[in-house]
Amino acid sequence: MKDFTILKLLDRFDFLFKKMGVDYPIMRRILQVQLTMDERRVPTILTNQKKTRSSNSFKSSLITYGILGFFIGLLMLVPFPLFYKMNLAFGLIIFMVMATMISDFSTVLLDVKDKNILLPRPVDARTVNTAKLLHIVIYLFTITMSISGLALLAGLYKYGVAFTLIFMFELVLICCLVVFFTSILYMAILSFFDGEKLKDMINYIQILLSVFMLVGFQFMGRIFNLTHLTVAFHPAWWHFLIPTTWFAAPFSLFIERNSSQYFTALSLLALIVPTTATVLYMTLVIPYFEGKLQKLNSSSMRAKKGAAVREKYSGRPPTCFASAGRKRLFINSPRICCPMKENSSCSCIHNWLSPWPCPF
Amino acid sequence: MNLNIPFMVITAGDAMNTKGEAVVSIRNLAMSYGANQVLRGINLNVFQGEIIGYIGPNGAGKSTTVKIILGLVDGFKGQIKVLGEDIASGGIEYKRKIGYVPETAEVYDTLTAHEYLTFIGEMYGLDFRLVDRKAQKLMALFDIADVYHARIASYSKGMKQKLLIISSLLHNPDILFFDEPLSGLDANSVMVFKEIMTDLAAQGKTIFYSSHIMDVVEKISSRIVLINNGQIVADGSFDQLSQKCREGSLEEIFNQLTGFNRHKEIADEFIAVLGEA
Repeated sequence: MKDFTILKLLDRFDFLFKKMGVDYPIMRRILQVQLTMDERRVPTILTNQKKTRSSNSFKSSLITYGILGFFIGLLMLVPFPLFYKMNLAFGLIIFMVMATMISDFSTVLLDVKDKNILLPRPVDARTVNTAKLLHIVIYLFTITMSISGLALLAGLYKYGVAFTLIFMFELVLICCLVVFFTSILYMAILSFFDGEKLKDMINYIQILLSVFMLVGFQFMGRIFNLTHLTVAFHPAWWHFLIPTTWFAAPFSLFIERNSSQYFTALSLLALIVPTTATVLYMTLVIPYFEGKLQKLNSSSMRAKKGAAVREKYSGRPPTCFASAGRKRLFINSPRICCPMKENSSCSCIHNWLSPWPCPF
Repeated sequence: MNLNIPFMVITAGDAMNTKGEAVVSIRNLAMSYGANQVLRGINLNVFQGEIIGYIGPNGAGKSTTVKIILGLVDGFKGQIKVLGEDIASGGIEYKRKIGYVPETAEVYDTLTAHEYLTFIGEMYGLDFRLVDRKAQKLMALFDIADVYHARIASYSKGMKQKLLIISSLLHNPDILFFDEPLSGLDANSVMVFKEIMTDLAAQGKTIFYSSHIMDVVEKISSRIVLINNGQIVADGSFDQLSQKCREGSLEEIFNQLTGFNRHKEIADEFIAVLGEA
């Protein structure tokens, strides 16, 4: 099995883990296995490339993210006020990180298999949990960096070191926020539905991600036409509700020296909200999650009454078009079959959409 | 004798006292998932060298008992001691002596058998080269040596099951929990595996064997524990049970003790539904 660079880096800090009461060699081994499996999992972004089953699909997905990151990087060079640019850039970054987190990383966040494989072995809970946490951190770091790495470099070139430092610090905050929102989303779905429904929802998010990739790339090219427009900006109360403004404000504040109350308030939010979210995540979400996770694997759980009713009526609309049993079977079958297999519904849509934007 | 009255539990405990301290001892074990009470007071002492056939209808609580002992399920009431160690104390040392084949094949299936087995071995603190060598030999004995470097996702059910069995035995444990270990195995492998179990028990290992295949349980178990509705309703050797119940096979004993005698009716109704236009 491959020895990852990141693990060699961690080796330098093994004394820290030992101090925390973590069995370092075991934790390292668990991480090594997890990272190997990450490399082998086919990420959503690549699901339509069936022929090239390369040995390292994770890396090729990172390259795809890198291409998107290239456009974000270009955005940095456009002579726009920083506040607008960063709004747009963070919007893209947050969306991409969140979507990948939800669609591809659900396997890690929601893994009950892990528990079933590791817990019967002589491994203590602290070691398993630390490995899991580190795994999430490494994954998030890799994704975030491949999306925003070029933007960081472009920013460094244009605005200097201060820009890059603020950017990096904010990326950490953004990651905290993303983990929090992702788990809140899962928590909400799990408390209303059973595990099967959650898997469906993850599929919907995957579809959304695929569509976004298609539309997003078209959109990127148009950015440059927008430069001729003059953008007017008036602070409004609802700006405070949009996370991207929080993260964009510090750039205006520190780099452009735009020290209005408006930007100061927004910058404070950028610091306060993710910190609060992380504290909430540690104290409330994780304990709640642990209990609920069991639900995911409980296919034996009786379906709720609602499901039966929904099933009954969901067959209705097609029936008016197709009365014969066989026709109805064909109309219903994609709906019934697709969510069963993870990724399948997503790849259907993907395969169906992909010829359109690129007819060559 | 009226056979429909609730069956008197045959306690094997008295007869087994001579064998020394229990390897696994379960006291008043109760467990519920929400309002659904799965286990209602299980008391059981398991001694060295026994092959316990742990049987019961679907949903009786067999797998739950095993999962609790392995620390996979929290929130139980009662006391469980494995090799003298109370499992509620949070220690993990006792797990070094345990091997477990779960009911559902849970493996990291993007790994190859080589990667998975060496990983599991190292979790038990075994040396990589030693595990690698042992794993290869065991795979060869189970006739799946050629897929040692293939990803587990490409395995058939039987191959996966063999892998699970190997992964549970790599560290040469003293207590074994087998939950439906024969599922998917072909007849020849079943014979091999039954022989392995008998030999392991002869070596003084304790086997907790939970299955729905009554013939196998009947043949290999030195002691049969039947649970129904979260309680032990029978406990003793096959001979003891068949004497008490006056039935010839474990299947019939099972039917009787779980109060099930409608198989014919249900089958008839089933066929009738199939014929509905």
